[in-house]
Amino acid sequence: MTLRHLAPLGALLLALTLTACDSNSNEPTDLRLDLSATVDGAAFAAGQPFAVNGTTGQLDIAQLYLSGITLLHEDGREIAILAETPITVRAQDENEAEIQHTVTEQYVFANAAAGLSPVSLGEVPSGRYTGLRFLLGVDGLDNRIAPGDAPDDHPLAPKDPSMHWNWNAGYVFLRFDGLLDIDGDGTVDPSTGTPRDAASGQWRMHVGGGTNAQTVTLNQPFELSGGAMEDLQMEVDLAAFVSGLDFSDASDRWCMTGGCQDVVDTVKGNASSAFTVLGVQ
Amino acid sequence: MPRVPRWCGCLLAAVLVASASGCDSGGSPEEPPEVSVSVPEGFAPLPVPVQNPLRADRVALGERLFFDPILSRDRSVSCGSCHLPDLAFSDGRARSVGVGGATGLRNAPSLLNVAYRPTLFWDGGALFLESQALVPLEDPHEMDLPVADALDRLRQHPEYPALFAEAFEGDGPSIQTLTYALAAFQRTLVSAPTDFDRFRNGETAAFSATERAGFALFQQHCASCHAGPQLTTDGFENNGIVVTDEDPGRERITFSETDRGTFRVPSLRAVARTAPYFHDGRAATLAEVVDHYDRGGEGTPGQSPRVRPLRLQPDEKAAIVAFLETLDDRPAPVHTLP
Ligand code: HEC
Ligand code: HEC
Repeated sequence: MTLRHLAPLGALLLALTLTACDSNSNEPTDLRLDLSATVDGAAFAAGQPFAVNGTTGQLDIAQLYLSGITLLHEDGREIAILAETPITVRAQDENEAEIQHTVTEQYVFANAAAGLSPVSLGEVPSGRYTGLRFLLGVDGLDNRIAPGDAPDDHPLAPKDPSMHWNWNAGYVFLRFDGLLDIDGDGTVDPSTGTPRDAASGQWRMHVGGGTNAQTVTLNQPFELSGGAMEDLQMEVDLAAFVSGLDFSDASDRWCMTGGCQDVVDTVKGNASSAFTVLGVQ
Repeated sequence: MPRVPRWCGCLLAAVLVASASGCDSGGSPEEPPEVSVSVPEGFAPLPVPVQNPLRADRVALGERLFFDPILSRDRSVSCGSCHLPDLAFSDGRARSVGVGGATGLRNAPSLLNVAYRPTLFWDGGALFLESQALVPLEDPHEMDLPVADALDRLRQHPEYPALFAEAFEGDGPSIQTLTYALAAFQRTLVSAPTDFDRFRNGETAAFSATERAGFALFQQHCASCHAGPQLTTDGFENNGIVVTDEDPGRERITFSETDRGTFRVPSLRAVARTAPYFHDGRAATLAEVVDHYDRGGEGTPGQSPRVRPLRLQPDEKAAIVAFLETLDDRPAPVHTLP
């Protein structure tokens, strides 16, 4: 039996407790993270062209990982969100020894092309918050686990399209696959299949590596009134990640993390401005 | 019982995890039969992760999948096409050829004793046999089949769904079950004892005088990297081979220039069956390999100081080759435990 199976029972008990007492503002909030993806000021849709860095692009795959979500309470408390159900899986430590490792953090896997739905963050104290902090990435031992050991419904379980390199340790934490307009006619161009080919419209950016994980702090206040289910609405502007890249240069259009640290660094630098807290609903 | 807030890192969660993982290792009263393989003396016990025990049904399913070309785009190539049992699960080619005749960058290594490798591939990039299996499956130079398509084919197959269900408590084909089955089978590929093992165990007569002389020279010049009963430290070394940008070795994994030209030290178990040699099969024979070391490598940047001119006599080189030729490992038999 897992906690997942218990959750409905827990929810029922919670409901009973709630009706039993007056609603008051000290009650915790059952919080969800409601992430939505945009490009160029409009909702993102897979395979639909949008303006990016002075040209036209489209993304067929747009996936990312958030972890280490920490809510910054006005009273100074930092509320770190842990997974509802920790999982124990194989990992390899720095000395290449295989160990059993427990992943305790709540990971959020966002597959923008498939459409995003709210992710439960569990119960948190109500009240006013000055903002939140999280990591765009997977780091530490969590990045050296055997993905197949995670239960199918875990954010770190194998994904299709994949978020793990397999031929190398670790997760891709930001994956963009699509096409760009390279001849300037306003429509995206086909891929020739050859990486970094000047004649190819292929747009590929797979960013990973524990050292590339980027902390994002959003000093954007919100308030949780408590007592009920509330959604923290956050927007991620996918085009903002690549702001400043020069898409006329084939090497800025194709980056699998190795040998393109300049592209990776640009993305890291853009990470904070890609996210916005919209409010609580 | 009140609902426990998740952010406080609570005892309840810990208890539930304990009971959840308890279920994984066999909730049914009757444990399914497992297999055992005896390993040569001097080997550590066969490493088997708790997550993927060597269940007989799982190993059998993995073996069938390993040799089934259903897992390649045009149904022409199986894992076994490049990992042939007679060649200690290597393929005899300099560089492997996959679907449609596509040639990859690297030589297919033996899979004997692969359970013992702390890292996989010539550059040590992959960490687990389970996740490794997705690489050849999807690689355009190998089987070139997206995993979703592979799973669809298995789900529609007349026999596989039932075999998966049996081996995985009712679960059908999934990334997890497919890769677990393949890994379970590969962990059973272990060397049966060879003359080298008999010699190590004190049977001096297992080696001829030449082989003994060759082993002594090997101990002197080679064993700092090719050490112990598995003839490897599993470390990463630059043995003086010239590399290209296309395949810079471990630099591809670490992005560190000091790892250019560095590869995982290969185990030499079964090396008599795995010609041609080196990561891209550039050396056709063991004599060529010994010549490489005798010359002191190619003097590449970052070459290990332990690879230096040896000035061996022709009979000494022949003796080292004679020793290497005793390493003609075959797979050990696999027994099903009652
Ligand atoms: C087209 C030929 C080809 C096919 C098909 C193939 N392999 Fe391989 N295999 C290779 C080559 C080449 C390497 C070395 C690759 C490298 O080091 O980058 C390799 C490496 C491996 C390794 C790592 C061994 C070690 O010691 O590091 C394992 C394990 C493996 N293959 C298992 C499989 C499995 C399982 C399948 C089927 C799903 C498979 N292979 C299909 C050619 C092939
Ligand atoms: C500094 C460490 C080091 C030393 C010393 C060393 N080797 Fe190696 N050996 C390696 C590495 C690393 C490779 C893989 C290189 C590659 O494939 O490009 C290798 C590959 C080989 C191979 C090819 C195996 C295969 O499956 O393709 C043989 C055979 C071999 N070495 C034999 C020897 C002999 C004989 C000596 C002593 C004369 C020796 N080595 C000394 C590190 C070393």
